[in-house]
Amino acid sequence: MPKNAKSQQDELLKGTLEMLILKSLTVQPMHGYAIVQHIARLSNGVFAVDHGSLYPALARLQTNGWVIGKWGESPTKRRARYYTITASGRRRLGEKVSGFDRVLAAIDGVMSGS
Amino acid sequence: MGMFAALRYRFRALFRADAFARELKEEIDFHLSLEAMQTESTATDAEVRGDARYAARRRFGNVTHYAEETRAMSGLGFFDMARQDIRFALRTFRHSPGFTAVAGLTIALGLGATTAIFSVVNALILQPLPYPEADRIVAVWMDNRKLGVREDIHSIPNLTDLKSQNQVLSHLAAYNAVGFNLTGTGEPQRIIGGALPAEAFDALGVKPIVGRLFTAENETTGNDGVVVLSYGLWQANYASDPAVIGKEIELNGRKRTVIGVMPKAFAFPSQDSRLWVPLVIPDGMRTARFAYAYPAIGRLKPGVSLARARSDMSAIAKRLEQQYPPNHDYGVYMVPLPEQVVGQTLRTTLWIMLGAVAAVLLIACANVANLLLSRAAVREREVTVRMALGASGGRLIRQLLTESVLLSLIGGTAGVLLAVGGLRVLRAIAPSDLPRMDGVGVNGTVLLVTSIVTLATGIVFGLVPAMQSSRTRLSESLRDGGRGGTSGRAGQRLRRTIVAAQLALVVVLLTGAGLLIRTFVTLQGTSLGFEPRGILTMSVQLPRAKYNQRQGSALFQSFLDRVRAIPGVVSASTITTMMLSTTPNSTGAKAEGRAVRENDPEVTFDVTSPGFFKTVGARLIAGRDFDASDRDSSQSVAIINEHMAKFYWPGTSAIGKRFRFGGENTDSTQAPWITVVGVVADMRRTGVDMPVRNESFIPYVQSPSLGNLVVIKAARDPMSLVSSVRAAMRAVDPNQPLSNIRTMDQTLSQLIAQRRFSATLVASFAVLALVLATIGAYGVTSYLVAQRTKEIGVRLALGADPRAVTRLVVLDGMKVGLVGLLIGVGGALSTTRLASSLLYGVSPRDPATIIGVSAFLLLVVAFANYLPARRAARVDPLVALRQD
Repeated sequence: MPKNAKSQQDELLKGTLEMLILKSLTVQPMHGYAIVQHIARLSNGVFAVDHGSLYPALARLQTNGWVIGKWGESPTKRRARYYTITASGRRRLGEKVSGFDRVLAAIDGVMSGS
Repeated sequence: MGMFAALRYRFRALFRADAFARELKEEIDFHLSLEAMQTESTATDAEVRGDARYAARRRFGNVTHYAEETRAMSGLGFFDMARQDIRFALRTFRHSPGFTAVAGLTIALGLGATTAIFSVVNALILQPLPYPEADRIVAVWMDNRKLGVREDIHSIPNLTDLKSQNQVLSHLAAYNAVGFNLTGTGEPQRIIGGALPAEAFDALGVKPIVGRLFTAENETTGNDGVVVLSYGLWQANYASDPAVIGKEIELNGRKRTVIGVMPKAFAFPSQDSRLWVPLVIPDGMRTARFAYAYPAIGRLKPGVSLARARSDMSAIAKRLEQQYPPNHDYGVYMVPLPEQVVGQTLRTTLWIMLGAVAAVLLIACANVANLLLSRAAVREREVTVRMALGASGGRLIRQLLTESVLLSLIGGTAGVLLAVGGLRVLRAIAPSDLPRMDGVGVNGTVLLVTSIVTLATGIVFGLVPAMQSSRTRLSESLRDGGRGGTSGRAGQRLRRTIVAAQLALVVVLLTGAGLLIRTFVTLQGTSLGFEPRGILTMSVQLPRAKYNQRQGSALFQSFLDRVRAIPGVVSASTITTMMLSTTPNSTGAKAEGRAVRENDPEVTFDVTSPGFFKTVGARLIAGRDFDASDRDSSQSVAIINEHMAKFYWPGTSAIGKRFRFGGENTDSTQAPWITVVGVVADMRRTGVDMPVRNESFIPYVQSPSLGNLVVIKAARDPMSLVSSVRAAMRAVDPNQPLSNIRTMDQTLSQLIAQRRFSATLVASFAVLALVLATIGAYGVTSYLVAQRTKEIGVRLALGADPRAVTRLVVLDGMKVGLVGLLIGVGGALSTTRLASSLLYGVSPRDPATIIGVSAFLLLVVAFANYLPARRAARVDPLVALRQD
């Protein structure tokens, strides 16, 4: 993908990636790879980003106390870090989603008005 | 829950950075291997399958980049920013080495002085004594209201009552400080030690490191032949050999068995106690309520406050007063042991010093703040540009603060080095009787406090200029003709305020120093009533086990005869109480024909041999000295001081009058009438700043004593006689040590040593403060003048007299000086009171000192302003106008 498009997507990601992670974790606690898989599945592969960008986002979510990471055992018997959404994480998700809804509604209004 | 987890996460990222990085790597590896597995299982192509790991990496993106990003997101971004700030600050320092050196040195001086004094305060006051729960140990004294002595000693019956009736002390024990002649180990030694009952050790809560302590059985005559050594003595005399237990040593001519060794830090009753024997109380003392002989030590019961203990003990004392007439006016006074060891005067002195160095530090801070302000003005363009580029005010403040904190760290490090050197000087000039001085040093506690103070310093002197800078507004810069923010009017006011505050602090310091110096000079000028120059003193304590009174008299007689024969000795004599260090014994007295009054002060008594007054250069006002006509069998005679003569026989001659010791109804067979044969001029014998009391002197032959102070008047340097005097004693008793050999000049300078010490220190801090503040005032005036160059140029171009310009600038600076002076005098008037206990013969609000300090300071400020003013007046108008 062109470099410019990528950096734009990065900007977009900062907000939405966090929201997607939080959303994924409401289903069940997951490790990083599972989160990526989950997001890819839900977005039908449209949301294809560097897998690596997940980890800075997870770090930010953890420093804010929205997500807790704990070491556990994966089905393949390997040590994996499982992330759980906290109560304040759910609140944050709520705020994000309603904000996102407003933006979508606005865009929708502009598009249909033209 | 989330909050806590977030904190733990940040904490881990910050302090367990290694583990954090390792775990992140493990997590990413796990991710990559799952992704690789996934690719492998879904791919059909063998080649793709082989490259699964590579594909996984590609899908992940730049691993290092994302790891770093994660690190930044985990709260470490702040530190990366700080690193950037530090690098920037260091670069700035390299660009202006002069500024960095001046600012760093100023801070170093301030912090160095503070660190040095704090380490003394720490060792002497803040560090607990080496006993468990030392603040619960109390020195228990008899409060002698009759004599105005709060720390007087007890009689055993009183102490026994206090002990059995109180509910507040878990231990209470009498003790005594004792001197020993240690013989049988080479040169006979005089050693200071303690006679302690087992309970005194219990009260202190200290166990021996080798052997055992005394038991109650040791406290009876015949069972007391045991001794416990100090660590120091054990090390010096027995090479720290544990086999010393069971060995015998000879003390005062009597053999005692060593049963234990105390830990190194144990020093009781005094700092120089080297050994301890059991306290054996003679039977007679157990019943004599008027025989005041013992200090006491106790420990508060758990949960009992000092206030409660004081009131409980006072209530008992009050009962005893009513019950027993001799106890009239005797209460109880209790002091926590730490306060006893480092007394109130010394504590006050040290806190005042700490206050003084804190003031010096503040002045140093103010100087650096002013320097930074000036520099900020120069850097205004840089700041403006950075703000225009979008740097936030907070970010700028942080960057400027990083600079000032870094500067203070440089200064602090240099300051600690200065403090180490300064402490060496301090130890050299400190009076030798300062307690706990060996604990003084730059240790962990001191370093911790210094680091905190250093950081605070950096923030204090950096914050104001930083905030000022960040407030820079383009509009303001434009309005002020290119000189906005720090160099504008607000900046000028700030600078002047800082200088005024500095000068105010200097006035307070100078006043304090002036008062202490005046005290010291007054003391040095006080007439002692005797001539300490050329006098050698030493004490000789004959052991009771070896000498009876007759033998003792004979020994002293032949010793004195031999001493008088030494070439260079003018005269020699004895007295029982050390001059200038010990308070002489005293008791009630009755003058013949005069009823004893309730508030009659006690009369001191000393035993002297003939020639004493001549030897110390005291003037006999009337009558005669003791001579050969005074005998054991002849009538009892005394020489009294002028004070006593005037007290009992005002308006008439005291010669031929009679008095006796003891109260109104004392049996005259016990205390015979004593005839006054001489009156001597008053001597300030217990100290220059001590009041003169009623004093009496008894001839040696009529009251021989085994312990005497030998006083020798020398025609040349008294210390040069020491070996001959030792030889004289060896000739009469080779086992008898001479102790405390010193000149009276030494004793005297020791007496005022603490005052000289505090006067010297406070004065040097005041001078340091003055220098710093003068530099500050000079710097600010120079800067302000430089700012006004254009204005001055216009004035000169319009024909102003250069002298008028000089005057204008100086007067402008003097205004600031006057404001500072007024505030300072106000501050001095309200704070020097704190030092009043350290002053003698001068009021804390001494007008002469304050006026002198004010005049001096104004002179200095005028000078600091004159130099830049003169430079300004010489400005070439053309050059000045071309500026900007």
